[in-house]
Amino acid sequence: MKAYDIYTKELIDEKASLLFKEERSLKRLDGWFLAREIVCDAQKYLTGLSREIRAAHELKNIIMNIPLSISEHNVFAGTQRDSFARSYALINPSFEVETFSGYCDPTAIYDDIEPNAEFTTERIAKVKDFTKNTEFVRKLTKVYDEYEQYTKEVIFFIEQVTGHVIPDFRPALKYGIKGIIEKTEESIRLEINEEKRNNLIAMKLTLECVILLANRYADIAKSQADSASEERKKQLELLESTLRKVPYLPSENLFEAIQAFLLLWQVMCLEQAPNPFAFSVGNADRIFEPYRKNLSREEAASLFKHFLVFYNVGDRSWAISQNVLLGGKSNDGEDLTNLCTYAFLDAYYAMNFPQPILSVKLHKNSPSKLYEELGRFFFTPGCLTPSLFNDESVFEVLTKAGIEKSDLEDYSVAGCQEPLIMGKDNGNTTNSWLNLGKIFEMTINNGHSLISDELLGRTRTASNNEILKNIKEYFYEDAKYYIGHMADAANKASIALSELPVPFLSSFMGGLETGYDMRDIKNQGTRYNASGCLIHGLSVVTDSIMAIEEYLKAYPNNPDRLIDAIKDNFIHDPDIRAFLKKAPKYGNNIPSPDLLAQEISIKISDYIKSMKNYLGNRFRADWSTPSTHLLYGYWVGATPDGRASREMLGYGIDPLYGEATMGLGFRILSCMNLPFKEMNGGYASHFGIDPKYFTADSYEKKGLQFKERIISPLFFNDMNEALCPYYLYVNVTTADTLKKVLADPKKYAPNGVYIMRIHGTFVNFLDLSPAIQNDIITRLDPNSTSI
Amino acid sequence: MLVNIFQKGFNFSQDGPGNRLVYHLQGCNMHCPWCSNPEGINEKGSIMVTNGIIDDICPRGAIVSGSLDSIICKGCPKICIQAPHTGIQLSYSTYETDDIVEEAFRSRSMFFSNGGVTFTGGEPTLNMPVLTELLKKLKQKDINTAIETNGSHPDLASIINYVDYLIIDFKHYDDEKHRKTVGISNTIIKRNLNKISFLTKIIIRIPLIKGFNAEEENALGFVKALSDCNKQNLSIELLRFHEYGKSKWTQCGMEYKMNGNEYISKDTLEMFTRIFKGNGFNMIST
Repeated sequence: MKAYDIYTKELIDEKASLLFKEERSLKRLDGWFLAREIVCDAQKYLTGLSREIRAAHELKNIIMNIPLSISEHNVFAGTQRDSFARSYALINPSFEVETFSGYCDPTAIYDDIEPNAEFTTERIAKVKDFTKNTEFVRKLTKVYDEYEQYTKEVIFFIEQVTGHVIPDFRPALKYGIKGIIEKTEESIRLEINEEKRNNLIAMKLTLECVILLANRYADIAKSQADSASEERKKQLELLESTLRKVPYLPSENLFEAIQAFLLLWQVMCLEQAPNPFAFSVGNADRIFEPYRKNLSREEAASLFKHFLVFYNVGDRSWAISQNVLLGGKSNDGEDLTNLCTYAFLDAYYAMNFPQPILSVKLHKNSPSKLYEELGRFFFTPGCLTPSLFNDESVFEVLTKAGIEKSDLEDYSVAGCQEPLIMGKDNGNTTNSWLNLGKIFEMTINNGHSLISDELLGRTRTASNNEILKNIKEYFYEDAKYYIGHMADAANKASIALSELPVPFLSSFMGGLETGYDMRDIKNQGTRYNASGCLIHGLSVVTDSIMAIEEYLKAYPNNPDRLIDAIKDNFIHDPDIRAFLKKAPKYGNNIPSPDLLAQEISIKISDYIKSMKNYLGNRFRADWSTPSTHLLYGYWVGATPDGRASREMLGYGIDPLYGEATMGLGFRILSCMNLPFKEMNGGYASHFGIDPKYFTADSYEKKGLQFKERIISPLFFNDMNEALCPYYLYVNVTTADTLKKVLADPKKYAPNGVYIMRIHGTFVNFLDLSPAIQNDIITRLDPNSTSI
Repeated sequence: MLVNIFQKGFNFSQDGPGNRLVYHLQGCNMHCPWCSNPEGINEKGSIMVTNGIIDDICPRGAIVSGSLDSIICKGCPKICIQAPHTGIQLSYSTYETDDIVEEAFRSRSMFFSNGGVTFTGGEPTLNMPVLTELLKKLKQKDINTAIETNGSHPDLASIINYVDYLIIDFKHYDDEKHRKTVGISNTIIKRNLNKISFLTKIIIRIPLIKGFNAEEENALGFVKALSDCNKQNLSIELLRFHEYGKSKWTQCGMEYKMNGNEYISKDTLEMFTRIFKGNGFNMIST
């Protein structure tokens, strides 16, 4: 029995819409709490077990006991609803830049639960206390305490990295879990190292969990079929028979492959509840194309609509930053788009969901058809838009970073824009966060905060005159100093996290080959391993150094005026601010600031990459600022570029808003000077583009214009002697349009959904907190983006 | 040589083919009341005010409640812009011509789709030696060049060898109306159009302003005025009235005299197109 023997395409489409509607009506997400409660209650049976085996049994207990259901609108079984909390800050209406302090306390999430008759205060407190006393939380708390001096006003920040990788489920679809388990059993028999053997046993136990889950769903389907209408009965029978087969056995068609994939995903997320953020599906079109067989593009698209619904959790699609990749090229340079690429695009466009994120990989020979089909995304107001990756450059960046050639085509993107190899790369991408703006403040104000006046950093014996004259060298010295501390702190956070092994995920990250958990801190469980550092403040530091140079030319004997002005936030000296604002700024195709930005990004990238993580692997330099340019800017006082205290920093590698006044062409030219080859952890860049610059009369033709006017010059510019940029996201709209949407959402977004990109992810603009809405509007600065 | 530029940046295909780096040169010998770049009219530059301006900056009281009255600025040495102040600036910056050429060369990777450099204004021919030097040096570097001019320079033909794409604005065929509205005679413009049309290709841009030049009789008048030109080398582009520059008149402390009734209808545009085409002219739209 096959899906289209039972369903019409129209019925599948209708069910997808109804299922999404049903999901968005959920105002509570308690599943993650139940999962943690199950783990808490199971402890009495798990004493004496090794960490890895205990983790496997904890997962098994969750899978056995978590309440499951199948909606009348479900075509596939499965949900990731029980793995996420309603906590992600940026889509939380109560989020405020002023009070956000990062996710330091892993037990704070329990305070977000609204107690009721079922989830009483006592019940919540019990699980919270259990969590508080785990070794993981104890160790992590100690790290945060130790480095509070540096983190409280965000000289740097660190976190333990959950989620943020790309599992490779392709073998599970191809061989079935049965095949993988049999191979694992053989490995266990042959393994003489006890630790590895133990780990493999744990992995095998968790692999069995997905079979358990499939059978639990199959039982529900069978039970529901008994009392269902004739039509629904057939649907449930198909579901049951599919679940009895996959993912245990190999998938043989698209329906089975999607079903298998969703259950694997569900177990993976439950293993990390409540923090499985930013897992990536990987190169989705390539994963599913072998199973499409004789299904048409339209038929495949309908099934993919249900696939996409799965990634939307609760009333605000809380499972944020889960990335689906399409397109790209092979290791030999062949285009890898296929019919599933276009079927996915159709499903995305038709549904226009806030999640999962869509990213499209482009290369020099990407077909025109792909650009034509992308046109509708960019030019339909309120429609989601994909992030764009340049395979030509990404391949070179990854090669330099040590990725083997045979793995290049399997790069995908976890989280916002961090390129990682599917199933082989644990990049710990968001392990550390560096605030160059605050470091610059430490340098110019001799270790004292301009916000609180507190002594936070190191001091040096130097006059204001000496500081200004040597600002660049002192800044580099300080950056090196804080980066060292940051790496120490980040590694300690990773060590704390190793208390929570993930045998199921490790099975799809190379653990079955290495015999080690991917979070192991002594033995490398994945082929590639690193720790990430997200670097903030490139434009502010560049522009500040340029402005100081100009200042010293004009006022060589009056260093105190500048220092006093930034201490005073320019309140009593607006003229000096006007002077500083006129200094040459990065982003306008002016050689001096552009070359300085290049120098700073090379130096800081080098410092970061010289740091070693807990396994002795290098940190990766990631110049992206996923809305943290707002949060970190809030902790940076006035800067010599004329930026006022607590204003945002520049986004990613972009010029500071309002400072690139010469339009998009000059911005692109400035951007081309940056050393993308050194940005091996990723970077972020955003163009706000006025749709009026694209004059063609159809979406398809506009898509081609987009290629000609934006993508080709930026990504595939033969005249650019350096490595071309490799990442971009755009919002093709204007600030005025967004203001209108906010003022009258019923008129401009009648269904309550108006999708915009905020950084690596897109979200429903109307779900965002006001601070983030305002950030998007501000960065659509027309002077910096006119074509 | 020095050149005063009040605006620069890229524009796609509207000021010549492909993606172009467009330089707006300060100063114009016309004063079209619909001008979208009024800050570029005064050859000596315009003082512009924006948010945050403090009234006290001008001791002569030219700024009241954040608004500028440029009439009071006449004859003033403009000390207000000698040092930077928030919310006030001179419209242009001064560059060495070699720096402009170097900047253009540095930007050539953005000249896609057969793009290049366009000089416009203000009126770029107002400082002919500077413009000539710029064009010559760009051509030496094999950069595609375009100018957009009002066609009023008597020696315009002398630079056409260095211009790949020549755009000439033609506001009105009637000399009296031309003189009355934009401030100068159109005699030289008509002479230039005629002469140059036999030497090279020209794109003639006609801004259609209701109440000034947008009636059917005007269409016929334009056709008649251009009838002696070499039509083989002419392309006509009709530009619809717009008010994109309206706010800049206020910023410059200058009176904006359009009242918003000057927009033309689609029918008018079609009528003009039909008449031009019917008389053998090639019409384009960029």
